[in-house]
Amino acid sequence: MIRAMWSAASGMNAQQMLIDVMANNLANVNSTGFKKSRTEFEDLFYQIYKETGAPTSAGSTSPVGIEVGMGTRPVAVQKIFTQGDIVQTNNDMDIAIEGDGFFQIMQENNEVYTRDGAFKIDADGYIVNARGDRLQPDFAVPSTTTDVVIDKGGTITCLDSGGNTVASAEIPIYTFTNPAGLKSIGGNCYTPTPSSGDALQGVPGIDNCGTLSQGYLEMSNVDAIEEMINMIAGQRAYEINSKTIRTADTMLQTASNIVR
Amino acid sequence: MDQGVYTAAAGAMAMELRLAVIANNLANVDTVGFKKDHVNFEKYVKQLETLPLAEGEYQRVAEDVITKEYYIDTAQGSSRLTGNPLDVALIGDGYFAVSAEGGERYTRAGSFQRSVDGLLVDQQGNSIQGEGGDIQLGKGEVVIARDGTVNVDGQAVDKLKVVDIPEDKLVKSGRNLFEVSDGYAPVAAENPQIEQGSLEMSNVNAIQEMLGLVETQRAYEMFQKMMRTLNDAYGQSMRSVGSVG
Repeated sequence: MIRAMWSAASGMNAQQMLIDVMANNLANVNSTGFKKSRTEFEDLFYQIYKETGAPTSAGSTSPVGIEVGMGTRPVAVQKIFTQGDIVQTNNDMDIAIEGDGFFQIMQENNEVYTRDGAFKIDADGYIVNARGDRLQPDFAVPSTTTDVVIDKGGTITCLDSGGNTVASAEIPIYTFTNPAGLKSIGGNCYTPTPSSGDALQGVPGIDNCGTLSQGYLEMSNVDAIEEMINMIAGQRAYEINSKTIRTADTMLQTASNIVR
Repeated sequence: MDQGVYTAAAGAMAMELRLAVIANNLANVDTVGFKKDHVNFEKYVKQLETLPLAEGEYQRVAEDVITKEYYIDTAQGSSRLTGNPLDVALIGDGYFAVSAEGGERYTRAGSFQRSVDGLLVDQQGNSIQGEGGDIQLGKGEVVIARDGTVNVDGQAVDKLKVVDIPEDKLVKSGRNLFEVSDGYAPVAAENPQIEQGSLEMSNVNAIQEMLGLVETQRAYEMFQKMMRTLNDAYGQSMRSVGSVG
C-alpha cells in the first residue's frame, strides 16, 4: 500500500508540473513571438512481482508475469514551435517571420535568438528590441531616413525624403536542427544548447528559412481553449491521484484494525 | 488454523497488489502511449477453496490464479490533435521500434523529436527505427504519410518500422517502452495506420479505475472482517470446548 501511495504521489507531482507549465503558457497568451510548452510524462520502473514463465504450484508455467509500475514522472517540457497568429500592426519596425527561423540579438555580449520581431530604433539609429538589445548584424538607420522598407528576403533599405537609398543591409535569420532543444532565457529569447545544435545562418526564404513580413507581428502560439482544457484535465487527474492515497490510507487503517 | 484465514489473508494481499496496479494506472492517466495494466481476482477465492490441494501442499498459494488474470490492456488510447509535425499516433495495432540501451524496444508514445544530428528520436534521445535503421531527417520539413513513409522536403527517406506484438508477449520496461518476452521476434505490422500531428494518449479510464479503487477498498475490508470473524470463532471454540455445562 505504501507502493500505491508513492505511485499516486508521483502522479500528483506530475500533474502539478503540468499545471505550472500551463499557467506559464496562459500567462503568455499575448506575448509576441512566445512559443508554448508541453509537459510530457513517462511511466517509471516496474517491479517484477512474478517473472514470466515461472513455475506455478499446479506444475505448469505462468504464461504472463506480474509487473507493478511505480508511477509516473515528467520526462520533458517540450517547446512547440508552431507558427503563432500573424497580426498586422502597420508599424515599419515590426517584423514577423513566416516559417522557421530566429533573429539574432546581442544581449550583454551574448548571442541570443528570438522570434519576437517588435523592433524599435534607438537614439543612435540602431535597430533594437524592446529591451534595447541590438538586432544582429548591427545596423544604424541614417538620420535622414524617412522610410524603411524590409522585403521578404531580409533586405532592409532606408530611403530619404527624395526616395533615394541612403543605406541598406541584409537581415539574416538563424535556424536550428532541433529548436525544441533551445533554452529559454526569458524576454522571449533563447540560447543554443548541445541538444539544439549551433545556430545556422540563412537567408530568409532560402532553403528552410522563413520569410520576413514588415508591418506584422507574430503573436503567441498559445491556444487559450486548449490550455483551459488542460487545466481541467490536470486538476481532475490531481484529485483522482489524491483519492488513491486516501484509499491506500483507509486500507492501511483496516489492516491495523485486524488486531484489536 | 484452518484454510479460511489463509484464504482471507491471501485475498487481502491480492487487494494490495490490485491497489498498486490501480495507483500506477491513475498516475499515468496523462502519459502518452501508456497502456493500462489489469489484475482481476474474481475467480480467486473460489478456486482457492474448491481445488484439491496437491500432494505435499498444505496451503494454497494464490499466485497461479492471479497470474491468469493479469494482462496489459492494449486498447487504443484517445487521440489528441497537436499539429506538431513530429508527433505521430498509431491508429490500430502496432508498435514503433526504438533502438534503446539493451536492444530494440517498442513504444506507442509517438512524441518524437529531432536530435542535434538530425535523427528522429524519442524523448529519451533513443533513435526511432525505420525499415533501414535510424531515420536521418536532416533539417528539412517532415511529412509522415499514413503508411509511415517519412518524407523530408518531399523526398521519401525511410519508412517507420512498425511491428505487431501479441499482448501476452509484451513486458513493460518503463519509460514508455515495451520489450518482448521469451525471445519472441516481432513481425512487421500489416498495413499500419499512422497519423501525423496527433498523439495517442493514455488508455486509462479514470472512472473505471475509481470504481476499482472503491471495490478494492471494500474487498479489503471484507477480508479483514473474515479474518476477525474466524479469529473470534477460534477464540470461542478454545474457550468453550472442554468446558462442561
